[in-house]
Amino acid sequence: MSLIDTNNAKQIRPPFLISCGIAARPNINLSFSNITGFPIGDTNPSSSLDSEEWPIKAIADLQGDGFPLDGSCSFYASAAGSEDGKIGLMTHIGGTGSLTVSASSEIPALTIYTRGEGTITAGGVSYEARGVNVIPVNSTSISVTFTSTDATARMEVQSIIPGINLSWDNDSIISIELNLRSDLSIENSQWAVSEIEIQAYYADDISEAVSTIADNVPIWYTCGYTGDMSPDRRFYLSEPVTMKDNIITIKGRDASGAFIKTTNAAQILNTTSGSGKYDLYVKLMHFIQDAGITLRSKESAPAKTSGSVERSLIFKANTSDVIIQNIINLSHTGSYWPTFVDAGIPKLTHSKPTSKWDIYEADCGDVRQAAARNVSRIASHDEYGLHSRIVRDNTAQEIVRRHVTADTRYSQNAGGYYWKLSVSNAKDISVTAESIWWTAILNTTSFGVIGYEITTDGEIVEHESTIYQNESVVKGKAASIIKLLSSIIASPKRAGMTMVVDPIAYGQVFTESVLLYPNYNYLFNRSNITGSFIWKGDPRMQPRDVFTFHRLDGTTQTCTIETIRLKHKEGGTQAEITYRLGVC
Amino acid sequence: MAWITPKTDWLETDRCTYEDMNRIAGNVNEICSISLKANYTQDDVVTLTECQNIIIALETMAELAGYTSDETLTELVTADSYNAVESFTLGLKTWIDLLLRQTSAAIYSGDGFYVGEDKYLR
Repeated sequence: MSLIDTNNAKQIRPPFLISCGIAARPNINLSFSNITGFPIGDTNPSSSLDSEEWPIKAIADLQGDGFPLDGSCSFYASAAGSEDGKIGLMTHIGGTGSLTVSASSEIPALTIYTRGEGTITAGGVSYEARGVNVIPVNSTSISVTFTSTDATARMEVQSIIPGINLSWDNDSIISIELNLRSDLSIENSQWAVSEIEIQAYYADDISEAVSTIADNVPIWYTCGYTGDMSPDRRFYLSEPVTMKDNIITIKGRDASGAFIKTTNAAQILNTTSGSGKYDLYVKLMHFIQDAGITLRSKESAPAKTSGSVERSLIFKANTSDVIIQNIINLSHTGSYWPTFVDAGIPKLTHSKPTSKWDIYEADCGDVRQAAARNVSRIASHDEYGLHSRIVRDNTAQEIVRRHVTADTRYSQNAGGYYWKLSVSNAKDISVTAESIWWTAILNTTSFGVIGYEITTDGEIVEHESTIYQNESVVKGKAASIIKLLSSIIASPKRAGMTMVVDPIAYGQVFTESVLLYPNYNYLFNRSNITGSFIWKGDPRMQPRDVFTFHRLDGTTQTCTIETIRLKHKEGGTQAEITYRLGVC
Repeated sequence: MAWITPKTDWLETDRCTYEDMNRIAGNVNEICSISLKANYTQDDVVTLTECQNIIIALETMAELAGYTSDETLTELVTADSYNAVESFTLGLKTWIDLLLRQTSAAIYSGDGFYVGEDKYLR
């Protein structure tokens, strides 16, 4: 059992360890010169100091009360620091060392990692060394002096990097609020972006430096107990960092915030009845990755079967948030359950989730439950209805001939939907439902030919014409849309409301003879019961996680988490959870 | 530097100070009649070369004196390796002292051969 689980089971849980930070390093490399006063160190400080990821090597150092014999140290050998480990620079005990830091362009600040008691002096200002210090620079060069204030110990300079790279723990975190979201609505379900807000203490006034931190800088957060920390969540700065009265406020959102900014041209998805699950899942993955999301983990694509009935589906031009939410909302069939959750840990799966957590109502505040009106009918006013079918024309029509120059990029709008577009004399081809892009391989060349014609009068007339070689010829097989159904009703019939939707795609995806997408019928099965409660919280929980809710009356319910508002404040942790009954 | 009784009960939780390094190197100097660095201060680090010199000196002297030991001397910075070095040093010192006393006894008793406390072969 994990430490978090063990402690969650206790009536009074020990406080979580929390760690978070911001990594705002600009793409600038530093160099170091005039290095004096450091008798021990790497032989390549210009590269080793500016590499904060390289681990620090502990050496057999006799400062203070000596070095441990637990195998964590090695004897000092003059050598270059590397990815396997570095020493940095070390002063004499009680000594002073200095160096000049230079950057290729102006930097607002330096983040300096040190060990030992002492001061850091730069730009005429002295700072107490705190392990990690942010030093304002606003220049391309600055001289920095390190002075040990412990007569028996050294100042050790481990890393100096451009920009602001700050981390906080329980001692300096004032509050953290995470809003981890999904949208499990039956009607008008929309992609929900997750957010974080950190308030933390920092002793020096670096308000000017933090105001320069650019948007989308990574923010990280983890929580748990020593040896059992939750997976790192990654968010990205969404508002300017502020600092007031030594409190820094950082606001960020998860990577899926990029979905809304990513516009997709109309896309074609050609499937067979044996490859529907696979093709739809891979297409979903491409929509996610094309928006710039790096998946932390993903389930392998489902296996294909031998079904050979061919179909096409056309996603209309749309932003990624609309398409992705629509696919994960309308593709539930049997155990096939494509789901994408970000909330700082982007993960893509296709297997129907099972209960992952147990929550006891006895541990919760008041549970509030609500029931929305049932949906009895789903309809669309789209000209092609709620459900439509793509009819494929198997004849390739010539759409255009282009005179091209080798290694030049071209595009062609085909002027309608095509389930297959191709082009000759081309490489690096990419295709949507309406357009094609390619790079020409060969130059188009031309030459004149002379033809002769005998008129009815018996005269011979000469004709000169031009023949072209190596044109790029765009051809397409047309896709036409047929309306199938304007609406569907719940079976068995029930009272309720009519839900009007605007389909984002034409056509259908099947697995064998079962409709995979868009499966509006599934929405009739989604529970109209929702609820919320306040609980002690668990930093590992994600939106769309399924949990078993142990009610006070001894019954259990299977529920799906819709949102989690996780708050760390005043030494405690609390979560406000909203959920929907059933597996969504 | 005078001989100082080695510490042979190092634990992983112990820390090695400059005084320990001076004892270890000083004892090696004492029994090997060499001059390894034995004036460490808190401002020093122990280098790999210095560690290797201690091991080489001990192994060389052991070979000259015909001393054998089960201890394996390594360059690792662990309690075991420190126990090995200091135990080896102590064993070598005892062996050399024994040889010296044997030589004295042989001189004292003519053809006799000293084999241990108060025992002589004639």
